[in-house]
Amino acid sequence: MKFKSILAAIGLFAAITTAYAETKIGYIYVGPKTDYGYNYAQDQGRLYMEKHVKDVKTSYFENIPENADVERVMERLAQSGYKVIFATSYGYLDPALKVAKKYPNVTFMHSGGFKLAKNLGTYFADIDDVMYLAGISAGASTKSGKLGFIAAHPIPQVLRNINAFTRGAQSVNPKVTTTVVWTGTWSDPAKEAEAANALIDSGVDVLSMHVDSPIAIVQTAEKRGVHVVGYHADASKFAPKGWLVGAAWNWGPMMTKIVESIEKGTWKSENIRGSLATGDVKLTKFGPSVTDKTKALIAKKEQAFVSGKDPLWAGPIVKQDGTVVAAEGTTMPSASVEQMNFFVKGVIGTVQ
Amino acid sequence: MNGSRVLRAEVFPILASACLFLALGAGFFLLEGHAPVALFLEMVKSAFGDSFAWSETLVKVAPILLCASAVVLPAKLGLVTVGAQGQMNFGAMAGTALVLSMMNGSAWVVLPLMLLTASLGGAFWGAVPGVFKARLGVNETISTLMLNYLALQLVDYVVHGPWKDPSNLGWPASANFPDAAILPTFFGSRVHLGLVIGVVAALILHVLVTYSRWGIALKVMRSNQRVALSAGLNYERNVIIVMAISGLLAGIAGIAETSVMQGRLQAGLAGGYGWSGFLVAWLSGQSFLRIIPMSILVGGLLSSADALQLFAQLPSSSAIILQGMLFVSALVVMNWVKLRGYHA
Repeated sequence: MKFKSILAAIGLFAAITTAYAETKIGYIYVGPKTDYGYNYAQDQGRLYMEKHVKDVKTSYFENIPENADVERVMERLAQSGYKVIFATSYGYLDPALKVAKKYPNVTFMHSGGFKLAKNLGTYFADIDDVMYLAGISAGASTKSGKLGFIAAHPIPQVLRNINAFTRGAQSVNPKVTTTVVWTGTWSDPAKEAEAANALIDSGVDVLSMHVDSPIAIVQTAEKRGVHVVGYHADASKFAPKGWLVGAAWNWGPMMTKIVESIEKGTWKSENIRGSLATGDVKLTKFGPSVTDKTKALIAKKEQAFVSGKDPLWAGPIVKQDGTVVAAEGTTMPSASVEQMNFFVKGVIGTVQ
Repeated sequence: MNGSRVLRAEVFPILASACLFLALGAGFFLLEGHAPVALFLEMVKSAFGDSFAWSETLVKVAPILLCASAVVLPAKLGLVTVGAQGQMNFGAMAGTALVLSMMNGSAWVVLPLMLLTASLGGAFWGAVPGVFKARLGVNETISTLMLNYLALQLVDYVVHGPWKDPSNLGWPASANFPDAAILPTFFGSRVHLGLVIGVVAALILHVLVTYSRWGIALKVMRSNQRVALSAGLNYERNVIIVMAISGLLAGIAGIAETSVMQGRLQAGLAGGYGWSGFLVAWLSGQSFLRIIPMSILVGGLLSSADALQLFAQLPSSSAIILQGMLFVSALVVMNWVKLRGYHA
């Protein structure tokens, strides 16, 4: 009798715990989630997903460098019963592949990579479309015809943004050039501010960037009285006058879909790519100096991207040295866009 | 030495440092709004709680121990070096050069040669400030500190430039090491041969400095250079020798991190291990025997950073803050003990 009631109690307990079993989901960030940039955008996605998917619990790790440390963090998550791991920084890709092999029951999602494993997929979105649109505002507002771009690493997603930004600006002002300065690291505010000042001293009057936190560059631009195009998130409050517009992520809905598919068992390993059309990337609000004419131009081009009628990487696309990558009437295949390794004509700098 | 004197000279300072450290740490946790006792227990669990925790702690012990030895040996001659960080980088770079030139070699050839070139690279980066000290009287603490930055920039240069592998799509890192260039690991964990080398090196050095003629000579040169000179001991040459051996040890730590942990040369390979090694050497009173348990403690402290993030949402740099508090606690207590004259 007593034995039976104990069994029943255990059964009841088991039933309750399975019914309320939450899927534990871990996020790993390379910087602080309060950077108003890359990590902030990923974390906003985490919060949205947690609110919209039932029975999930998330934890996150900040400031995890892109070296062997991240492997330990991933293993720690896997061993503590985490079923899904979002490895959100580009340099986490190879460590994630290593750990994924060891923990076949954990699903790994890497942000921005282009390699797959049975239990590792990637997610990203074509934010270069938005950078093109933002580039239009830069081309329309520059007086010197010199744009400056401060970027971390010459990896494909960064090169795509620089090229898209430049082509957007050239669409309204064919003579503009973009000078690129590499910082060699995702986050070094002192170096970024230094680069911004140097570019401004050389006559650049619109800045943009691809580093984790745009704050240092946006603030420098405001202080020096030049315009700035933001990246990752809306940082207009740091440059009330100089802000033109920015390209921003909207990870929440995509992350929600990914987690739901894992819960349902329909997830498969693939390179998920969001777009303007699906709302995964978007323009931020405009600054005060952008004219209605420019806004209308941008809106028109945005429509063309969304409808798919006029894709971003349609020719003519010409390299710095004059080589034609895609002739008029052709479009670059997406695999070569994902592995971009060149600058377009009008960009000053090297892809080293 | 009778019981109460051992208690005063040995146990008391350790207990006092530990109490001061725990009090500082508890204050830090309280400021961040967390219950200190529970958080300390979580930290202990995540550093030593199970076999995975132990293995990840030991993974950190390997480079810390080697770097600590690299500080203790020069200290036997009265030198204060902070160059392990740079020697790790330079050694790793030298070892990587060998690996990249023998991508298809067999492990029996590549591994020993890789360790050898990394050792020589580290030894060179240690011998340079040694020569500066011996020949020109340049302060070794300053020169080793500066050479750290130089080595760091050199690694940055090669991974951004000549050694950047095209398959990384622009990411600054060398090609992945072939399997033949990965140091052996144990028990399916990431604990690697570097740990064994670190322990063996510390033990051998302990025996050498304690019992050998050379060890006694170091002691003489350290305490009285005039006596040393009249005894025919060459201080200058020994400065270069100990600095080179010190660099060699750190060089091995560097290539082990590169080979096993990163699998390729990339910036940031040295973590903060050079600094942690320095801390361990000082906490251990520059003793080759005591750095072994002390490395395990500090390694555990660093790997318990995960618990701080996972359970308390504290940033990972909290572990570095705690490491600093540990150092300060120990220094305060040691100096206090010295002032009160407890040491015989």
